[in-house]
Amino acid sequence: MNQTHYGVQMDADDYEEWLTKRELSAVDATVQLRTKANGGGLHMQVFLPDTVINRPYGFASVFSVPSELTECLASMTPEFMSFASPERVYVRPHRVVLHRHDDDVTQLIIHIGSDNNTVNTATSGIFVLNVDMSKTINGGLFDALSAADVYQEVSGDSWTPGVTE
Amino acid sequence: MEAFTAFHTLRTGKHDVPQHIADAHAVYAEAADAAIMRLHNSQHMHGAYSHYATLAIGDTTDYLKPFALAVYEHYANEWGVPYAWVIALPGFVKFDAACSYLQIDEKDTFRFDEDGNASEATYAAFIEGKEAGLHDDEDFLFARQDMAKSITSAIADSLKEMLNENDMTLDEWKKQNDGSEDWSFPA
Repeated sequence: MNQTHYGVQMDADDYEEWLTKRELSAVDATVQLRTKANGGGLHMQVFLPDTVINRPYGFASVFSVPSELTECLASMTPEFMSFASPERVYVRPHRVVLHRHDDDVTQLIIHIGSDNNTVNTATSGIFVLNVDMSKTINGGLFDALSAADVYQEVSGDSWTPGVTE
Repeated sequence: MEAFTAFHTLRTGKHDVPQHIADAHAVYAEAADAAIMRLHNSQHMHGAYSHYATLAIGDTTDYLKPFALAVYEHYANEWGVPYAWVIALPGFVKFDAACSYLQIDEKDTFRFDEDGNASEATYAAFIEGKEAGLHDDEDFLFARQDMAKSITSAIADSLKEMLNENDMTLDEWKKQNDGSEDWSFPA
């Protein structure tokens, strides 16, 4: 995709204003999730300081995910502006990491931000998801999260319910 | 060409309904009969089953339509052509009441209206053929009905607006309904 980054497209003042309105630092990658995605999928935006994956600010895509995750997001109050429009419809998870384990399973771990330490329910604070890396869409996710420096190869098997890591 | 030969064979006589469609119809018919029987035996006491029996009875031609669509899909897959190519062929699939055999009924087939406008099925065949790379990237040669153009244009405008608002591409929007999860809970 032939796109140039907003940091190149815009003049310095406009880019600074764009960053400020979106509460972004020009040097830090930022992941945000739409609270109510149209169509039921999960819409993720990733701001990358100087990398274009498929958007002029970095990366965005819509993922088919378990309904517990979209329900959890739908219950949250949106705080942040879209990277693509002035709409304030996103939340920022406290932490997002993509782990590749010894058993060849890739897992996305999202600390959504609530104090609830349960995993993978509509009221949970933590979601652990297996990512099907054979899908093209997840190739984009991998590229984006690698560029955001939150991809890690970790020792040990992937997390499964009932087993403590 | 093989697909056209196959279709012309299909146009004559009676043909077995593909087994998976006949099986689905049998399940539907059994559930419908049971709902009607429950209503018959209980309506002097309560009306709980009237809604279900009404759904089950419906209009006999309407309730068979999804099964006809499944037949079109079956032949599209068998012949290796886009779905709309089968829909655009002259004739409708008709079943017997038990859905055990099908015939092609060519009555009232509409491909062009009296003003020479193409049917939407004909236009869909053009679009899907182009998407599948089965014909040249050229303009559609026929006119479409004004009403059809106006409806699709309004939907396209509204979809474009929705995609912009949601920071989505058309491909991303279409993919949402493909039925498989990109991320799933560990089992």
